[in-house]
Parts: sequence; C-alpha cells; structure tokens
Amino acid sequence: MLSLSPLAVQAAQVLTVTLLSPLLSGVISRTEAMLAGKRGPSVFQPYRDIIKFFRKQRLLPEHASWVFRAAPYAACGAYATFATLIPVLTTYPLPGATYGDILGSAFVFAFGSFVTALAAIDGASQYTSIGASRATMVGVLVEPTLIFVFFSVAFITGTDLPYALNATLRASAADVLRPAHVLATAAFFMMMLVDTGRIPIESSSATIEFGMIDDARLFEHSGPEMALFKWGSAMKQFLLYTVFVNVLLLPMGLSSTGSLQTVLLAIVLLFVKMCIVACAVVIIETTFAKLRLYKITEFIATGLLVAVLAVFAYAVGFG
Amino acid sequence: MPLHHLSVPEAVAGTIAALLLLTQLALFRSVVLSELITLYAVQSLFVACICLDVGLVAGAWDLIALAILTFLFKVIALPIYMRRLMNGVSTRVEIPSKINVLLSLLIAAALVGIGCLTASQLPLKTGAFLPIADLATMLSIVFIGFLVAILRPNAFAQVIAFLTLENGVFFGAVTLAPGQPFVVGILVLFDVLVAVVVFAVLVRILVAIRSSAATAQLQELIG
Repeated sequence: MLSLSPLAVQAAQVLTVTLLSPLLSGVISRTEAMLAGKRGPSVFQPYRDIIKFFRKQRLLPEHASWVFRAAPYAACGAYATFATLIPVLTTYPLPGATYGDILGSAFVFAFGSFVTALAAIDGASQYTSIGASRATMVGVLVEPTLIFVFFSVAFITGTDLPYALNATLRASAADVLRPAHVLATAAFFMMMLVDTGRIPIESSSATIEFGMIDDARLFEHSGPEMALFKWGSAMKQFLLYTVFVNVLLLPMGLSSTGSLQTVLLAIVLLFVKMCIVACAVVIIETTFAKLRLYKITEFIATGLLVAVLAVFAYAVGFG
Repeated sequence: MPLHHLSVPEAVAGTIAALLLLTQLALFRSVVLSELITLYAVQSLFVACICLDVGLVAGAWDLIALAILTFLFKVIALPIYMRRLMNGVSTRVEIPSKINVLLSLLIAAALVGIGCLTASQLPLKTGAFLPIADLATMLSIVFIGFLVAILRPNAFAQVIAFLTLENGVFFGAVTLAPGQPFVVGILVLFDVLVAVVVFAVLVRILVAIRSSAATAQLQELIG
C-alpha cells in the first residue's frame, strides 16, 4: 500500500479544496435548477466561468490603489491557509495544522471577507460600498453566534483544536447526538446559510442590487481578479461545508493512515457527504422565501439564541 | 464538567429533545397558519419517533402501538382536519406591535433557561433517556406553549400552542415514565381530540360572525 508523506497529504488537502470547490457549486446550481423544473447548467459551468474570467481583460477603477488588485489574491490565500488548519482528509494533524485552533482558523477565514470588503470600498463605487457595508454588518452579527457554537463544542469535547474535536466526536458517535451538540450544529447550519449567501438571507442567483450582499462587493472587479473572487467564494462555501461535515456532523470517513487508497476514498466520501448537505440547503432554498433585508437580523438572532441555548444546556447538565 | 459519554438511547432522546425545542421556538418565527400546522405535524412526528424508540428499547408493545396511533392521529389526521378548518379564514397570524418576534424569542429563551435550571436542580435518577434533559425540554415546551397562546391573539395559533404544549407533556411522560399504562396514553390523545373539537366550534363561530379567527373581537362581548 503506497503511503503518502504528511506534507503530500497536506498538499492534497489544499488541492482538494481548490479544485473541487467549483464542482460543488456546480452540483448545487444544477440541483436547484432541477428542483425548479428546469434542466439547469452543467455541473462544470463554474469551471468554465472561472476560465472565461481569467481570459478577459483587466479593467481597474480610476482611483483604485494596490489594495484593489491585491485583495483577491489575499482572499484566496486566506481560504487556502484555512484549508491547512481543518481536517479535510485525515484524522491526524498534518504539518502546520496545529498553528491555529478553531478561533485562530476563524480569524484567517474572516481575513478573506475583510480584504474583499476593503477592495470594495477602495473601488469607490456606491454599489460596492453598500455591498461591503451590508456584508460587514451581517458578518458582525454572525460572529458571536459562531463563537458560541465553537465554545459549546469545545466544552463538550474539552478542546478547541479542529482535529481534536473531530477525534473526540469520532471516538463516541453517540456524543454527536447530545442535545447541546445538536443545538450547536443547528446554529452553525443557520450561520452557514448566512455566510454562503443562501435563502432565507439572500438569493444566490439574484442580480438585483437591493437584495444583494456578497456579490454586490464584486461589481468593480473584472478579468483574472474576478475569476479569483468567484473561485474564492466557491472555496469559502466548500470550507464551511467541510467544517460542518468533518468537525460537527459526520466526522467519519477520513483517512487515518495516509495511504493513497484511504486518501482517495476520503476525498470521495467528503464529496458525497457535502452533496447530502447541499441537498438540504437546496431544499431550504426552493421551499423558503427570501427575508427582507431588515428581517435578516431576526434570523441571525434566532441562530444566536440556539447557540446560547447550546452552551447553556451543557452548562446546566442538560446533556 | 467531566464528559459523560452517551449511550445510543440517551443520544436519540437528547437529539429529539433538542429538535422538539427547535420546532417549538420556530412557532414564534412563523406568521402564516399553514406553517404553524406544518410545525405541529413535524413536532408530533418527533414525539411519535421518541415513543417508538422508548417502546423498542423497553420492549413495550403498548408504547409501539401508541407511537403508531400518535403518528396516524397527530401527524396525518389532525393537520389535515385543521387545514380544512382553515379554509375561508385569514391565513396570517396577527403579531402585537409591542412584543415582536425578536422580543418574544428572547422571552422564550429566558423561559427555556428557567426550565433547564429547574430541571438541573431536581434529584433525578439517571435512567435510560437523559432524564434532566427530558424534564427541561418538557418544562420549556410547556412554558413556550403558554407564551405562544398569550402572545398570538388568534384562535388557530392558540389551539396549536395548546397542542404543542400537550406534545411536550407527552414527550416528558414517555421518556421519564416509560412504564405508564397504555390507557393513560390513549386518554392523553382523547384529551387532544376534545380540545380540537372545542376550538373548532369556537373558530367556526368566530368566522361566522366576523370572518376572522382573531380573538381580540371577543373583548367586545358584554355579559
């Protein structure tokens, strides 16, 4: 059995996130279209879009500084770094994986959104600035919920390193179903919908400025930078799904030996698990109505409430 | 706090407790009657699942039969009947302007806190199904049920609040005292039937007089 070095597995982990993330977006778009009774685009359409943007000309706003040009690279870099800190393919920590705990990882992740917002403001357009302000407002509201979710999971497992969280939950499968953990997972799922720009918060395929949050920040970008932002957005979604399935919900099916076969199997299983989660997201997307912009706080507040209840439930011995 | 590893029955009971709590909290988010009925059906499905789970673990045929009856009655028959009753009535639930969705959710969270604290202070023996979590869930659902009935001035919302409240009591009874006689379970189901019939009469009268199910108009009654 061919055994891969930890460094090679780490590289495979980053490559999995980078290369498979547009495919996941494609699968979600196609499933959405099929549920709506349409044929839908090919699952490989996001790859074609990214290649198309890479070939297009780069146009910059008149007053844009280096921040505008550097932001997409920094955002993609942040997402690629995040991919090294969480268990994507293996159950054991890979080189560099213990440089940050779950909060440290969240900071790296938030850096991606921060530079995107900076670039949106640097473009000096009203639309992108509004998008940046909305995205930052939503981000600020989501932050406490995520902190509570990670606190509650850390309380249950006694650690806040993503690999250790995974190992603790894998050791006792029934612990995934303890009330505090179920509530925390539900809160994370709600915040995942917010962070990936899904209904009930926003419509991922809408092009109306009134309701747009994330995509509104990218109006001024074009060419390769736009391609990187699109790719980064797909990576962000893929990484959030990875945390959801590999750390919180189904921490099984990862490679424990680092052999080629188990790593390949882990990649396939990860994608299958993600498709299951994506189906749940798509069902929500097709059955729920989009909330009005000022009602978004209610949805996020409900998520915060559930996360607080999770911590509280554990603290009083609820389970 | 040292980690107490859960057994499978405990984990199932815990999950269903959390799901029941989530559906109960979702009652506040919903302002459309059909959504409230769906939420009740989903919650009843969870209750039927826990009844079946306890029946299988304890090997009690009466609980399995009760689970099937609960499924047929509360998940299928009652929601269909309520949807038919809803025809011709305004489908939106009125929300008072002073206590809006967000504030009512906060009050609900405080009530869940009281439920959890109360349950954690009681000297419950460790059974097969996380007794503290079950009691806390039961208390929280009862509290929130009352809160929904108080804060939503609509006969439909109030009947659904009462029915969810009964779901909480049923969940607590099944998990905390799985050996209860079959006849008690049947009586609880019968109790629901009586309540629904009474509410059905009330709704029909309200609709016949004012073509609305809002209970505010009852304030104008003079004895």
